[in-house]
Amino acid sequence: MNSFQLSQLPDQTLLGLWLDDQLSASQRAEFERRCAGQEAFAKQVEAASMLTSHASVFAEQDVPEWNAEGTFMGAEPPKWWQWQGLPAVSLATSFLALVVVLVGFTPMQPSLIEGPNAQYVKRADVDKLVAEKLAVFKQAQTQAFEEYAMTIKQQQLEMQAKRTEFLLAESRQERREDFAEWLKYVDQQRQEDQLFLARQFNQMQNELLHYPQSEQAYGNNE
Amino acid sequence: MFEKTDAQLVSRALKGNKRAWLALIKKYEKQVYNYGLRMTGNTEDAADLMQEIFISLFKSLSSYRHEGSFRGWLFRIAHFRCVEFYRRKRPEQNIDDEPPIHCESNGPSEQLNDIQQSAQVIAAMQALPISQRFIVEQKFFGQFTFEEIAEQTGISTNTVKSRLYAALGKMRPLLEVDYE
Repeated sequence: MNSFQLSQLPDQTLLGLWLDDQLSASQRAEFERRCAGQEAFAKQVEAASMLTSHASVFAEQDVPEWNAEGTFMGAEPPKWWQWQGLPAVSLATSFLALVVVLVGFTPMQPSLIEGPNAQYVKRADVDKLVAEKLAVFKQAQTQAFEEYAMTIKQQQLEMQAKRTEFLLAESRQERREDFAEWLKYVDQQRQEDQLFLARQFNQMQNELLHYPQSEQAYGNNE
Repeated sequence: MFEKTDAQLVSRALKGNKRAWLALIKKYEKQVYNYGLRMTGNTEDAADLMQEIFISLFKSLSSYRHEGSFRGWLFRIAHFRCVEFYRRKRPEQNIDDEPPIHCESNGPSEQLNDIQQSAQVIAAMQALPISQRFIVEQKFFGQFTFEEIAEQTGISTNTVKSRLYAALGKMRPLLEVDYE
């Protein structure tokens, strides 16, 4: 852009380029020339600068309480329990139930042999499979019973051993206590005998010591 | 990290997802309300305009073609609603006409005493015709390019620049008041 074209550039275009920060070097020179030389243009630039400054510090107001939900005018998708087909399905299943009851339908156990794959299954194979399964089952049951019997037997033996041990310990203790009591009794009897004998000896001694005097006393009296 | 994009929210809202629509509102309501505040000059009209914009936005949602930013498309609708809002309020006044000087009871100067500078900008913007006010709003507060503003208003880029130039001339004395 030559200097003539630059000078022909309208003020608002130049200001617009400045505001969008799209000035080329030559345009910037022209812009600065006009700012310095044209008071009206400089004042416009000043106003734009002031507005930019005001906008950057503008105190944004908080939104007051308002009915934001009221602006939604669409139909919300129905919930699953509001599905339109639900009553129809309910009616159909009820009708089916009525038919089943009226016809007297009883459900059949699906049979492996009589089923649609019967042609692929032989009776002997099935018997063999059943026999194998039974044998395995029997073996497992026998083993389980054996283990159970062993466990019970073991428990009984342990119980018996404990009981015997307990009885022996108890009788031993009782005998020891009885014997102690008998010894104590014998000791007591012996002490009493000794005491009795001691008293007898004392009495006899006394009688022997005092016998002559008493004899004399008796004699004199006679 | 898990924030939905505008396109996802729009497509869900179109399928009847109310939560997506409310999320979209939550994202833009403050911008739209403050746009309304600067365009109308008072909080009641700003709230009414915001509601009208979002109702209109919901009705137009199906016509959103995902061309350009959703925000740009939103403010295009906001511009039309704003013009209509003014036509309804002042049917005798053209959008290019100078607004009559009046003092509203609940104007910004009363409600925004603590934020004098913001109130001053809002008051200065009220002196502009709607057509110029929208361009000032979108250029300085919306941070849109001249091309985007031209697309939103349906006029040429040169006309947008001319209107902005004229608006700056009118606003300068009003913005200078406090500095003198």
